[in-house]
Amino acid sequence: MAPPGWSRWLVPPAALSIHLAIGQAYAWSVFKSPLESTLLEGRTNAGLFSSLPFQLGIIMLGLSAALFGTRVDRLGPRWAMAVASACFVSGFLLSALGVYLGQFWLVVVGYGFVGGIGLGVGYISPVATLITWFPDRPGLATGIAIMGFGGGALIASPLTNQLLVAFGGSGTDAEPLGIAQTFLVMGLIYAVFMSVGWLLIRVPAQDWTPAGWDPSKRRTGALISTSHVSAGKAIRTPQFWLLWVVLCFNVTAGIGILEKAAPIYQDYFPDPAAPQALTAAAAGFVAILSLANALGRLGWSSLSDVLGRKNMYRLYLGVGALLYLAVTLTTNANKVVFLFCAILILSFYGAGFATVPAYLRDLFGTYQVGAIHGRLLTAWSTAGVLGPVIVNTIADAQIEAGVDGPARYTLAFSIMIGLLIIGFVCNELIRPVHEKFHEPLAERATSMPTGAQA
Amino acid sequence: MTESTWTESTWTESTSTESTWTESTSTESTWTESTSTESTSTESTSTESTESATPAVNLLRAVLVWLWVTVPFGYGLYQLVVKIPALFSN
Repeated sequence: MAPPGWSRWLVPPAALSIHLAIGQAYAWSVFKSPLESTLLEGRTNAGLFSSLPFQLGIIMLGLSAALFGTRVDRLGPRWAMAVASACFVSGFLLSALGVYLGQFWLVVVGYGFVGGIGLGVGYISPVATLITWFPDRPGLATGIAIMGFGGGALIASPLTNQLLVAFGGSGTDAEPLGIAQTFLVMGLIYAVFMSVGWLLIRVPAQDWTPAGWDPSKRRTGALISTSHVSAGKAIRTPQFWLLWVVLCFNVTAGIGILEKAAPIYQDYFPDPAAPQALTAAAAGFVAILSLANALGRLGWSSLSDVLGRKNMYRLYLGVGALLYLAVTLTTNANKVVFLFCAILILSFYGAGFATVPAYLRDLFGTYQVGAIHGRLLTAWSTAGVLGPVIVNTIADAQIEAGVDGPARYTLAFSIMIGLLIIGFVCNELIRPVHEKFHEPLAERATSMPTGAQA
Repeated sequence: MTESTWTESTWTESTSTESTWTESTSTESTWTESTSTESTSTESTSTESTESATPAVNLLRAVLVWLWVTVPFGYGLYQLVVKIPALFSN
């Protein structure tokens, strides 16, 4: 527990040191090529195999967040961050060993299974604590942390590339030892980097409030509850499942562009005369979308503290559908319009992740918000499969049918519009949680997390 | 003994301000027991109390930990931003 005078502004960097590390998962693609040209050389479906560690990692993220959420709330953020660090770092070390021994299955188990548990536990570990430290600005606080997850790949991608080059693990003559050394060094870097998180994290005293903030003057609204709901009861409420659909479809819509960003750009603005310039422009498009994804997490989530969570999701889903419609109708007639729409869509994608913990706090209170958040992240795992399947399947079918240019994506984008509209309707249906689900005061007191107290 | 005093005073404050907790006397004993048995956490509380007494240390710590996360993030951001101009030269 934090002593008197402990600055709450030390908590976001503690959370960031975990999220910036585990956000490395989005940079897994950097390892794909080296693995395919070494351990997986000559194997059919090498591309599919090289994706397995990442895919298993994302599945484990959702599962471990759902399974361990209650334990994270009970044992506190330091325990969770330490476990997340241990699992995530072990994932890298096992992968290093696997590549060194030439055993790809060890990379899958290490990075995907063990590291994936680190992803899930690490993702939810600081959320409840940040919400407790920032009762006046929960959207800003969770936005900072979850922006870190989006920003993790920005660090890991160039770092991995540079390490692979330095150790001889990249290019046509990539050596397994170089890849193994890259995994090893990255594991050690993350072990040090993440240690600040679990060393620094503190929970506030029970009666702590921000200086100058009067709890009685907190922002009120029909959806902002002063009561608390346990994780077990939360998943029996319609509000949880409506929000599950909202998150799932918002993420699916974002992945619709993110998954095939470079090919989409090249199909929308082809330039056969300058293929290298087109490749560089497509890389720039991917970069600007990554930036929009990260900044949207902080910006829109912070604005939710002023405008309210439900209104923000009206924006993400309603305006998101209109933006997809604009891209579908204007196709490549205007590059500025295309970029403007794509950037906003990706900022809404990131914002959907960052705003949801505060939305959960509004609906279910702070009692087990970490555990509830963990269960909700199964929507992300689902969307992680749904989005790529929709976009890739349809785009591949259109290519086989000989369709060229933006028309390849018309049907996929139309489906995204439909999903966003369904998400918008679900958001409109969210009402305050019925009081029959509220925790009795005495029961909540006796089951206070020891980790949060200690 | 410092930590127990601090912990108890915190508890006293919380019971006086939060009616939620005063309603359950059995909970009070649960809380007291847990704080007294978890020696690790109470020891760290004592250390933290000492640390928090110096604002200069707090400020230095805040600067260092924010640099710890913003410097790598800035590096990643720079690596990203240098790719963006190519988007507009096409």
